[in-house]
Order: sequence, then structure tokens, then C-alpha cells
Amino acid sequence: MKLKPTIFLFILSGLSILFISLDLTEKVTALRNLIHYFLSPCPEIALRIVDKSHLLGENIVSFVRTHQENQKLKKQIEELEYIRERYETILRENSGLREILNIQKRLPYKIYVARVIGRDPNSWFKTIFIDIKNLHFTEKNAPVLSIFKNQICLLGRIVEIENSTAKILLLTDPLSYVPAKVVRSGETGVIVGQNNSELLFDYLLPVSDIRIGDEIITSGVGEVFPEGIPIGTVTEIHSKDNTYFKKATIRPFINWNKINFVFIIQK
Amino acid sequence: MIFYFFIFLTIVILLILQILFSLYIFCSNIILEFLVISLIYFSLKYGSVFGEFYGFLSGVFLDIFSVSIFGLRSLVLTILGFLLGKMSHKVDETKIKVQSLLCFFVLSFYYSFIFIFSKIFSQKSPYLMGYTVILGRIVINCLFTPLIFKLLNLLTKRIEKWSGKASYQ
Repeated sequence: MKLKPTIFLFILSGLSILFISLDLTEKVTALRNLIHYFLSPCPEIALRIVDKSHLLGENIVSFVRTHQENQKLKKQIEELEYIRERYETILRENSGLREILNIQKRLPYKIYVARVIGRDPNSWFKTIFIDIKNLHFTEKNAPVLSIFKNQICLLGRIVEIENSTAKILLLTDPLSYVPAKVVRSGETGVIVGQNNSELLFDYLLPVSDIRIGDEIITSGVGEVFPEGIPIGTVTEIHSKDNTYFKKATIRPFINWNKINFVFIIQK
Repeated sequence: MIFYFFIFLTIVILLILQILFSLYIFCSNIILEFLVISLIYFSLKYGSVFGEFYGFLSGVFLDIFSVSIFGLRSLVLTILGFLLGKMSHKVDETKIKVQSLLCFFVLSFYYSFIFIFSKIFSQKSPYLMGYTVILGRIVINCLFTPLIFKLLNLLTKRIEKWSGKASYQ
């Protein structure tokens, strides 16, 4: 069958007019986008082709430019995010250092500030390592304090000193024994570590006056820890465990996972 | 079928050539309208139906890459294919003067049609760069038309040979 040119003209012209009347912009744009992404490994060349050839209109030029601008802005956002995070870290560090300065003024002892440099995951609640390179500190058994939410609290004591590092025995280590007392009633006992975040207040007499919420501080008995260093608060009392001694669970003031700087007291 | 495939391939190659020529050979304002010139050639050689088909297809290709209304170029090139097909075997397309004159009129119609339509639909026309530039573009195209015709003639002979067709008609 031979097509008549006039009929064919009407069909194709009708189709063209249909293209014009129908809103095919989105589909055509999608196709352009597809072509653009084929050219995307070399966007500079794509842009040059698109930009210089007047056949390829301004829409596609602006699309490529917008795409490139978008990529550039995304990169800038990433850089700014990184700067912001660094700024916040510095801000936190600054605030921590300010607290340290305040603490140094508040404490009646000569103290050294040291940074925590190591912590063994296998003995998380037992020991930590601090850097004492420039401190010229050689005293063993020196009490170590820390600060949390502007509250000074006992952390442990130095048990080993090497060239530039020192090992701190934490209060939570079962080998740690710290003489302590209840602030309200003055009842004394010993704080023992339990290898977890909480402490045990042991050797209290069955008639001891101790209540949940009582604050516990060092008693000053012995020569290691000076009197009056805060340790924690009573959260539970176990009176039935032992007929001779009453025990209590103490929640320390310190957050064991937020120890960055420590204060070493020189006796 | 192979013949039509080669024609489709020709459109794609000519479109790429059009872009590359405008990029690297000529300054930015001048475009060698390979597709329009090839439309003149094919319409004169194969008649209206082929001209309309060729015009429509190359128009769609150009529309995809243009900013103006989608369908505008396919419409104008279909009409041009029809009109040029009507002149098939009535004019001697082998004469350089005829080729250039036809190119001049066809391109004038083509640019005017797009310009007017773009104005009607308040679309920013890509041809608002000034009449002198457009005229210069048309003249350059007219000068190159005989050469393009020569090349297309060689290409068509090859295509016909490959597709095993002595002649389309």
C-alpha cells in the first residue's frame, strides 16, 4: 500500500502538534537527564558541548550547571559539617579545660592534671593509663580525682609509674579498698569495687544509720586518701546479706566512660 | 528495513556532526544545519513521504536537545519534508545554484517558523540573536550545501549498496 503524502503529512503534523499541546516537558527532561548522566563521567566536556552548541538549549545548560553547582555545594556542606564538628569538639575541650582551672583553684591540695591515654577493654573497670610525661611525678599510691558535671569525685589511685605513663587502679576494681563514711551520719566503712559501674559499701555495722540517697565521702582513715573527697550516693542497702555487717550499693558520681582528664593529688 | 536503519544511523551521525562542527570548526554563532540540508537532499531524492518521515524523525531528535517547545522542530521539518518532496524530480538538485537557493529558502522558512512560534508561545527563542547573525548562518550553510550534497550522494550510494537496494523508488 502506497501512502499518500498528504495523509502522511497530516498524521505526522498531527503527532507534532500533539507533542506541542501535550506537556511532555518532564519526559523530555528525563531523557535529557539520562543523556546528561551518560556524559557525567566528564561533566566539563558535557558542559562545553552543551554550552557552545546552540542546538542544545539553555535549559540543559542550566541543568548541567545546577547539577555541578549542587555537587559543589554538597562538598562545601560536607566541609562545613567537618568544621562544625571540630568547632564543637574544641568548644567541649575548652569547657573541660575551664572546669579543670576552676578545680585547681577550689582544691586545697597541690594537684597535677593528666590526660587519659589508654584503657584496656579487658579490664575496663579495673585500670586506666595516664600520660605523666611532663609532670615529673613519681609518687605511688597518690589519689586520683576526676570531674563530672562540675562535681569532683574520687577515681582511684596510682599503682604503677613508668617513664611517661602511670597506671591508675580504679575504685571499681575488686582489689580497691577505700575507707569511706556517710556524710549525714558519719558511719564509716570501706568502699570495694565490684568490676562494674557500681561500688559496694562494706563493713557497716548492722545498726549503722545509712539511708538511700546518702552521700558517701572518703573518711581519711589511712594515709592514701585525704578526707572529704566525694565518692557517690547510696542506692541500695542489703541488710539481710550478712548478720555481722551491713552492705550498701553506691552509685559513683563519676561517669566511667567520660574520663578524659584526671587530677593527681600530691600529698 | 536495513535501509531505514542506515537512515536512522545517518540522522544520529549528522546530529553529532552538527554539534561537533559548531564546536570545533566554526565560531559559536555558526551552526552547519546538517539535518536540514540532508532533509533537502533526501526529500528531493526520495519524495514527500520519505521527506516527511525523515523530517519528523530528525525534528524529534533536535527537539530533544532544544529548549524550545517540544514538537516544534518535528512539525516544521515534516512540513518542509512534504514541500520539498513535492519538488522531487521537478528541480535539478545536481546543480550547485539550485542546492544553495533551496537551502537559503528552506533555512529562512525554518528559522522564521521557529521564531514566530516561539513568539506566539512566549518562549525564549534561540534565534533572537539578530537578523544579521541568522543571515550569516544561512549564507554559510548555503555555501556548504553543495559539499554536503556531494557527501550525502556518496553516502546514499553506499547505503543502497549495503542494504541491497538499487534505488529507493
